Amino acid sequence: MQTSGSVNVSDLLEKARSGDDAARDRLFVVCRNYVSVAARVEMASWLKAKVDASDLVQQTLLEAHRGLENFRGTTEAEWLGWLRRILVHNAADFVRRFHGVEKRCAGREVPLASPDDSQYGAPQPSSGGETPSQLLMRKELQLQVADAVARLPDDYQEVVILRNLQQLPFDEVAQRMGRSRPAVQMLWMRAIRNLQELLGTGESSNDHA
Amino acid sequence: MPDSADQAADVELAEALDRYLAALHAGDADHCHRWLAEHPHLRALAGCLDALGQFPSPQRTVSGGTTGGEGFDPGLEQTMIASRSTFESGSVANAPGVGEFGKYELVEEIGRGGMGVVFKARQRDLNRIVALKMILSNHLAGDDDVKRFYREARAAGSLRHPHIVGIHEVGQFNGQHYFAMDFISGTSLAGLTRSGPIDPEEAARCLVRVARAVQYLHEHGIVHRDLKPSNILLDEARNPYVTDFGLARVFGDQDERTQSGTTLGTPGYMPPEQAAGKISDITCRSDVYSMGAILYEMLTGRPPFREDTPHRTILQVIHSEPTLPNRLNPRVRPELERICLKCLEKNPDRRYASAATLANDLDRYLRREPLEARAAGFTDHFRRWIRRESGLAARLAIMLAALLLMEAEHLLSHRPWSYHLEIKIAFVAWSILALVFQWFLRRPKTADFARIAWAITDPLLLLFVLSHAEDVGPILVGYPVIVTAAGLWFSVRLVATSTTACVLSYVALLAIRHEPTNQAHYPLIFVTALIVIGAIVGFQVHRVQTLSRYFDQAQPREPGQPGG
Repeated sequence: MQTSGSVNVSDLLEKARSGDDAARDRLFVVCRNYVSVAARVEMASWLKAKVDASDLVQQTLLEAHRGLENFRGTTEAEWLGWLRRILVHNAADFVRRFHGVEKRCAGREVPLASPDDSQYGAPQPSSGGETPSQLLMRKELQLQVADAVARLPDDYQEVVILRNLQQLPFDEVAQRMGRSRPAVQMLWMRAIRNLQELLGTGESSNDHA
Repeated sequence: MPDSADQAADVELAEALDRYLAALHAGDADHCHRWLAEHPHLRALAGCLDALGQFPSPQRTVSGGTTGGEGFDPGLEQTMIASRSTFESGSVANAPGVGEFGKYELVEEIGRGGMGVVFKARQRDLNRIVALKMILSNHLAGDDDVKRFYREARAAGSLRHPHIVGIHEVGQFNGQHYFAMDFISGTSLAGLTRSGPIDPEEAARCLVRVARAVQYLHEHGIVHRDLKPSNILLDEARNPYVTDFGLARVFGDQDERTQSGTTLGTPGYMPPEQAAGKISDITCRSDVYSMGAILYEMLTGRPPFREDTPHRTILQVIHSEPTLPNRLNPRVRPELERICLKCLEKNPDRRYASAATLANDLDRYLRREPLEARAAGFTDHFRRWIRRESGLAARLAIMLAALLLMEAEHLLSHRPWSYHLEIKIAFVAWSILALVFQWFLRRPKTADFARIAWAITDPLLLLFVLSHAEDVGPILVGYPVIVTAAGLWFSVRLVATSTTACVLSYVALLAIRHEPTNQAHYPLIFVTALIVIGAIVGFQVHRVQTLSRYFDQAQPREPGQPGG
């Protein structure tokens, strides 16, 4: 699994644009966990039964790879926002397919070259707070979070995705995982502890107040 | 296998983290900060939850299972694309320039109230600046609430008037309910009055426009119910815009259900019928009252009633009269004061019948024409004075009754007028003292002194009267009356002071009169009874204070900035 903590996405983007194929490959390797976690978050349970999340990941990375020339952003946030747009679009296509609705080709071209792209991803929030949230938010953490989640054991991954990322209530999480609510709650607590250890290796200076 | 103590600790930890996550998902930043303060050792884990919160949450189009919020604009759904989660942009990260929210780009947080957070935001598709109000999810507990919110917001959204803040859109994004409305660049009336009174003419002109806008709302079946300076926005040219209309009903009723009548509005500006929780009595005339309160604040720089706790303020709203605006700001002309006081009448029937009649009268005032509000007659003044200075009024009434009673008795028994002259003089002196103390009471700095002075002089007067009467008899009942009346100040300290003063006064009386009696235990019984009465009254006051503290905590804070 990739550790993206030290990677500078902006640099990779710039190099990939100027024709550095190694940087281009590295860029997609670095973002794979992100896309894969995002895909699992995106997929509703009923869809999950019919499609493998990796199909969605594959499709998304492929389109991003092909459409890289159209991407105009320069920052990590913009890049991830762009990836996510493609992902969401593909997920919507999957949904339509399973609903028996023809996908509209016209709609697909829009996101890749949309002039709005430069606006995706927020500027760096300014500093000034002392809560962990604010400390952490100074950095772009999405890649690290995705990597950390991908490194968790399977059941930890699932509970974190359902509870934290899909924001489902515990009752529903319990139902989906076929366990009791208290069991799921304890599982979740352990998963968070585990995740903190994973994230903490790179962020220890921030985490201990 | 962990032992049971470990297990209990784990359960506790899981629940604590769960609470934090719930607050995070609800976008309740205050709660998050409180939690962090309570659990400093869990900061690292909370930071982990924050980091997860930064990861984008699913788009509603795809996640399917979590449908909710009827009437969701499908066009909106198509256009919303987020790269960041609601939590991040909506709450804890209140640094300027944060995040995106559907088709909006959040520019900065401009206000925060009990109901939610307001952002200045740019609507990308139309490239315009709007104010985006996010509703804290704890205000919309169930599906019914959500439906009601949409219904009310839609009704309000159809309204257009030059002096109301128009609502463009209502919807939800990532489970966060919000509505978008006109962005008014400027301040709110609350910001303006904070620095003191406004020129009376300007205040009148401003309120005319507010009243016309409120009339427009009334014509469309909307009673605002929460008119207050922070809900009147001002642009740079100081044109007023009424905001937050139509929603007070949704959130007001809700709060009422959950906390039995604590957050029906903002105590300083709400009419007595609303303060007393008589929801069915709330009509257009309730808004007229609130506009009167707003006018009062513009004229004097302070709301008509302002006590140190919301609970005391509510009591004042219901039972008391505000200080006359003219006393606080001599530049206020009597006509304008008359308009203001007519709005602030306790009885809705005595107020202006509609916002329009108020606006018309203000217009007449500005043109220096005769007003519809007739000049207050003697009875009006008298009625208001009794409510405003009830302590003084009660004492003067007692003195008058006592003097009349004595006079009548003297006439019947053919005694000269000078009989009991010293008692009559004492009564008059006591009345003058009462006037002086009332003067102190009107001033916030000396009010406490006046109350204590009253608590001490009342028993002293009684002592004087009793020591000069030929027979003590039933006049002794004055002591328990004084102790009980002290309870009306809602201060245990004053009840204690009053009780002590009464007991001392009674002991002094025994020493002065020095009447031989074969019932030596009577005074003991009387003193004990006095102390018991004082204790009961004090306990009762303490109970009310405890309750009021509880409710005051439940009271939402006022937004520090104009809450769009």
